[in-house]
Amino acid sequence: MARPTPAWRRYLRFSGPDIASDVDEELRFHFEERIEELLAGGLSREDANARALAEFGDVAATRTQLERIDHRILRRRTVLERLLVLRDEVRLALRRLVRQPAFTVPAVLTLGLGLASVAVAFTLLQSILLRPLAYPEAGQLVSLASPMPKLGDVWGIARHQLPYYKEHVRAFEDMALFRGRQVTTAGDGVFPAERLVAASVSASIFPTLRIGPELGRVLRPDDNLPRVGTVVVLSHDYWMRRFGGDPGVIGTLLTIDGTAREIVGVTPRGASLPDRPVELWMPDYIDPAAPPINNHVRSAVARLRPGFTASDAEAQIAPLVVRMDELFPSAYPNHWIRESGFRTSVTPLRDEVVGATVARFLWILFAAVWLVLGIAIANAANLVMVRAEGQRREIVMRTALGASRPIMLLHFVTEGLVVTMLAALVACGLAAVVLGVFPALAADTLPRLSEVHFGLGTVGLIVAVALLTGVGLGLIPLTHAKPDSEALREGSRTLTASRTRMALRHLLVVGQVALTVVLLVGAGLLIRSGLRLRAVDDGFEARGVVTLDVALSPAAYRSYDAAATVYRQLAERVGAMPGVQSVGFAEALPLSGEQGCTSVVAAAVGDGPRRERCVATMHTSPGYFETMGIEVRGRTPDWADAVRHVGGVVVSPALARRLWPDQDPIGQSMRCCRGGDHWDRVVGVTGEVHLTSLDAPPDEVAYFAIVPPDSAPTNNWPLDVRMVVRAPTLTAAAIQSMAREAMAEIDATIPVSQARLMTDVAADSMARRTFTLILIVVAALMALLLSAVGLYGVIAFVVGQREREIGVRMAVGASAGQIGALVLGQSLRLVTAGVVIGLGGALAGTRVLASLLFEVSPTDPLVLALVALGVAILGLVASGVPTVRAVRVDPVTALRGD
Amino acid sequence: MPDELDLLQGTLDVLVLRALSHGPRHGYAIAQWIQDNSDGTFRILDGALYTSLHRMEEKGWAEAEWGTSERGKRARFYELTPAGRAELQLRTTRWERYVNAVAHVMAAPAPA
Repeated sequence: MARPTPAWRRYLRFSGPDIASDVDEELRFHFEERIEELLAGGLSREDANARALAEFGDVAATRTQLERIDHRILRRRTVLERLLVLRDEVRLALRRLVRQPAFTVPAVLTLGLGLASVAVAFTLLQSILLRPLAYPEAGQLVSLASPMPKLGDVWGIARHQLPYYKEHVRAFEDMALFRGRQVTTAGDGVFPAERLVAASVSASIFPTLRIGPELGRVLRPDDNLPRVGTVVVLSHDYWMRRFGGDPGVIGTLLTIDGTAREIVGVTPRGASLPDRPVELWMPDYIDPAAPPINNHVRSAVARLRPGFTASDAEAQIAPLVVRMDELFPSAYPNHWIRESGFRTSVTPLRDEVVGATVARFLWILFAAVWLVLGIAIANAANLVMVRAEGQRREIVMRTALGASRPIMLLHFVTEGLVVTMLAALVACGLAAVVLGVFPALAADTLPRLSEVHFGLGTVGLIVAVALLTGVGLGLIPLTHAKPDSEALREGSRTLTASRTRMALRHLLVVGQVALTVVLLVGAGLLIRSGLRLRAVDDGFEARGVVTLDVALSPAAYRSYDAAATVYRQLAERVGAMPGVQSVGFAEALPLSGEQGCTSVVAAAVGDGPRRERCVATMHTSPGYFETMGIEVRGRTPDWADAVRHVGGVVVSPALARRLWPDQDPIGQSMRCCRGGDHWDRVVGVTGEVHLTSLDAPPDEVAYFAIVPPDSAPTNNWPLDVRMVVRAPTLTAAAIQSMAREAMAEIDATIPVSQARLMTDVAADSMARRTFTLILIVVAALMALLLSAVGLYGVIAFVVGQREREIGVRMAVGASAGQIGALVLGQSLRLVTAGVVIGLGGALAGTRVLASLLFEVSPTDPLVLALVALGVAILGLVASGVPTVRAVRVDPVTALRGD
Repeated sequence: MPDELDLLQGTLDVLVLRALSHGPRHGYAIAQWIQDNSDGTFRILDGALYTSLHRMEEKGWAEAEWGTSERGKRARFYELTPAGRAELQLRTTRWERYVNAVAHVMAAPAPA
């Protein structure tokens, strides 16, 4: 039977198992035993050898196989052992960390905050900016536009460009035109009349975007030809909402804007235009026989053939554009193409959808959160150092007792990793929560918000950063592990921490403060821009005004008079209701982003593209200026003028200045919208109004009367208008129900909807700016908080370290004031160094903000000064508590031996 | 060895497990035990036996450790793990069912 292995044998295992010799030894034992037995049975040694070999089989092959098996066993065992060691280390590290909450909690929370902000910013960047659009092979999609450098304007694409480019641009596999528009679907007793977003498209949009039908068919090219009976394709959502997903709906009629259209198909869930969701797809009318006109108002998208880029396409289009003067003389008389500098730009569709400003903002935010993370890591490093200082004697002791460097490394790196992994966990939780409420928080201020999701990529990034940070943090205590006889001496306490370690710690604080200054300067500049914008006079009085959408059916209202009559009756009825001061109508609201533009011509100046800049034009009813609080010099057309077709234009000062420099615009004549021979008289001038946005100069606007003179073009009467009601004491809902009641008595089929406060409309125009401002400010405040905590930590530690020195000073007669000055002086030096470096960084770095700023220079001295002062004050506050502690040091206690 | 039978595939494992079920053994002892108790009915190449033992170690059915043989020589001893015992039980049951079934068929009356 077996006896226990002799003790000396065990040491053999320390040299590591030698598999080959083990197998040899096992087999040798077998043969020796067998041969001995056979010899005892009377065989000769030769026969015994031969017999034993024969009984065994192929010795060499068996040996190889055994070694192979043993290698496999060894490999698995090593991995397992390592995992077990690691598990134990992790368990021990966790136990140590739990016992020291004063270190663990701030370290995990700081890093967690830093990592969470990186996670949020990365998710936004990734899902908005980097991820392809939700179309098959979306990278091949491009957007087209018409920049005209000489007019300082960018237009869309005209209908005649579609067949022209489709035929001649080799880089395009397909191309399509689209525009969004609001339509009204008729009610049917169960379902009320609705205002919906419809896409008016060329049929080629479907192959271009690769959208197929879910049911029925999508649009065909011949649907784009003008004819009477016409069709519509429903979106999946509208089909479900209105028809409960009934397949029988194909072939039935849906009345849209007063025209019955045959439903021919349904698009799959999620199918939409690149820049907006779509409920209905309707064919745009593209008549090849119609003479081309200079009307570049459609958006265009094209799909590149594989191997072609956007700039290839642009290069192929350039020679085509040059020839457009002679090919389409009806659209471009008088060398218009050349005179205006008209060309066609081709950009990747995703860039167009996201927009340069948003892209820039997202990159800035992404950079800002790395600064925040940097501050957080500096904080954690500081905490680790302070802790290592406390563990120093233990570390040196362990080293002296023979703990090898790899073992110490494992110990501390595991600890660092446990801290950062906990932080990563906190970060992922925080980020998931923030990103969960994000779409609601950000509502429409950023594109592609519905595509923002907390994903695996983000988790991967966070874990990777946490791993790196953890290893880095774990290496810090090892710098304290140098054998140091002084540290081991009984009761020793070096008066101050080692010079290099202290310098490193100071460097961390200075770095933190510098990063904070950079972030705060950025945030400060954005805040100052916001304040400047708020101070801009928009030229109207939004308070007390409610707006409503009123949409007349083009089929039922076929003249200026017919439309104007409805508006007049509605204005009279609503205007007579209690609490209502005035009522008016216009085709677009200021700051709502819905204003289109057309070219206008003044009689006094000759034609030519330079004079034809695109100008905001709209029909406005009597009462509009009064209701909106827009000042007018001269007069405005009234309802009596409307009945008598008198006309009359009111212009904005910006337009007047350009068309009639140094002259009184009132009494001048102007013409709009390729209006043939129709000249209209200017009767009034408004105050400056910001129609498109507050951060652009005041707009050039021409307000035409609700009914123009009889000579005007007769296809342009306003059907889709915004009603404005000034009634400061009434709610939007109350005004909407009053207006609906009044409308019911005039024409019950006309929907009155979308009651909103004009102040909300104006605020929405600022929403993106406000929201991006908030994000950056939040990042900067986090930085400020984190670096204040860091500064506090270091100063408090320094005071603790110098307690004995302070005691000595007090014992020899230093006053409390002198001690306070000593400690504060040290923090002030650190803060000042940080502020100076930070200001330098800000001067270099904030230039990237320039395009997001409004009337504020990236080096605005006020902001720089305020930030420097603020950070200095905060630095003093953070050092306040430790200073007080230093002043209160009791020399007796401090000097008494340990 | 007059009537040698080829060992059925996998049966060697059962025999080895069974041999180890009485306590730790080295490879040679197992070879002897099998030979002694099979009346020389079948022949097992010793090489196959050792391969089987190392495979069992790999599968976690047995653990190997160096020890000293009855005659004071260094030898590799194998001991069943709980997983090995469970495996033995499973295979024993399976083996008995197999034997019974074969015996049943052999004893059955002639087909009608």
